[in-house]
Amino acid sequence: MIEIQNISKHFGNLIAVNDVTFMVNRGEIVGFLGPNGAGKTTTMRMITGFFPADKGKVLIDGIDISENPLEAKRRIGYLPENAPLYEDMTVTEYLNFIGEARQIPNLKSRIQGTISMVGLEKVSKRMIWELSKGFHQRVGLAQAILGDPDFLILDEPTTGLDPNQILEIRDVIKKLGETKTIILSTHILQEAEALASKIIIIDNAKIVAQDSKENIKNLFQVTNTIKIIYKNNDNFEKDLKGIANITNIKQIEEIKGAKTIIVYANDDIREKIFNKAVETKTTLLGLTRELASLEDIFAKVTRKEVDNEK
Amino acid sequence: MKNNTAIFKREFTSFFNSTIAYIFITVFLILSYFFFFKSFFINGFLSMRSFFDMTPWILLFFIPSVTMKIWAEEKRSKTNEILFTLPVSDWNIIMGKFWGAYLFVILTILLTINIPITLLFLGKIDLGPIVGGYLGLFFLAGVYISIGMFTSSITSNQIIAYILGAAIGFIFYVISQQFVIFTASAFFTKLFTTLGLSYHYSSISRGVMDIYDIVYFIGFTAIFLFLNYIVVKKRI
Repeated sequence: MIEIQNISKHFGNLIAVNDVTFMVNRGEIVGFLGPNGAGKTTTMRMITGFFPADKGKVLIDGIDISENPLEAKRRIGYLPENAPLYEDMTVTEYLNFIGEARQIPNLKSRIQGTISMVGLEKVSKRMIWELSKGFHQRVGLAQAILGDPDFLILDEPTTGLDPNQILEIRDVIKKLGETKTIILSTHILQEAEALASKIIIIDNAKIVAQDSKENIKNLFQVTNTIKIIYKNNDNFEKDLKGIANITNIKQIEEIKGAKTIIVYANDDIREKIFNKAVETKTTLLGLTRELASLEDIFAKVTRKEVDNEK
Repeated sequence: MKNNTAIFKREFTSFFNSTIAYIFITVFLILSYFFFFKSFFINGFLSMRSFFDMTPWILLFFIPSVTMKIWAEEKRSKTNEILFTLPVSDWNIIMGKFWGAYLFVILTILLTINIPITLLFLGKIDLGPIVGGYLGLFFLAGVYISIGMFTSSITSNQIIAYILGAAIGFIFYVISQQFVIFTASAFFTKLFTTLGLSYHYSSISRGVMDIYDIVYFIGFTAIFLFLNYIVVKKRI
């Protein structure tokens, strides 16, 4: 279990992390979500013992990382953002260095196992600087999991990768999540959704929401902005105005007779729109509720906090 | 827990992974042999005096090029994030890097060992100053490395680390030399000869083993390693 108790960190006048508290239970994958500069990396650096918190405590399995750093660090594998590695070594040499520094027993077989787990067999003898971004990131993951730590801290593990590589790395993380406790940071909503069981949202150095994925997801989906694509009815917009819940309609584009419009409403009126389309013999090509953007969520959760304080 | 030598091994081998080691060794050997043979045939007697007079200057400008990368490069490439989250203490990392660089420099200096061996075959020589001279160079190298590591720790720019390292080493080397002391008052003469590297170096390289000089060199190295520790602990 990782317990973060009221940690703060400032650099000069800048408050990077302000009184952050959360808990990660064994077996959870926690998505640490927030825009760039929100304080994700600083928080992770305190959890991994890179630098101490100005205030507050970090407990890894009950071990205070500032009191017993070596014991705590032994339990953590850390992949920093962009996987900074010693580029002048081969993959195997590098993992050997990490293994010796971590004093991992049966190192040779451990390295072999890790290499095949993250799919590095083909490049294990290559210099790290020669590797593509995707393989580079895998070596970063490999060094993090080499000592078979119980906790993995992954800072933006998919940033800078192409879509195929993102899926591959996500698969590896999912596989790791079966046996390990993982905190991973991201600024992409879908990523947290795809991997995490619990989501913590941080903005402006503070935690603004933390909940199970399902509850957070509701926050994402309660927009009632609906995108409609239709054809064969020039008056459909007028027809829609008969639905009471609609507050505004915006035209987006028209391609080969298919019109796209956005409908703003105060309720989920997809069914009403569908019925209206049937009624007016309109051909519906698309009818989707727009997902809230991260900005919408931040606006929403911060507004909620203000409401609660009142 | 057994001794953790991973950082030391990584540091030592990293010199050979880049071209800098080979350039360093080649230039060092060319210069030191040049200064030795330049006066060897003129003087016509078996002494390494000119070698031991000049090599501290060569080291003064070469060791910062070995140490400049030690922290600056870790910071620039952010590899220190993994380094400092390994279950290894800050002191272990600092000493690992120190001994890695130290072993490299000592081996480079020892590549000149064929000079005294040649002298042995040529005739009777006084071994005291030669053994003392090498020991003096080793102690001096330790000081330069600890200074260079310190200046590398306060910047992520290797050039700045080099210039500062060479400058600090230069100041501490020259303050006890004749042309500085010549103009100083009695108090400063005392202070400068106590602090100055060249004073203690020349005393050892004359073949006089004084415990006072040895304590001076080890203490000097330790002070800069401690400054290094203070900076590294701050993670700036």
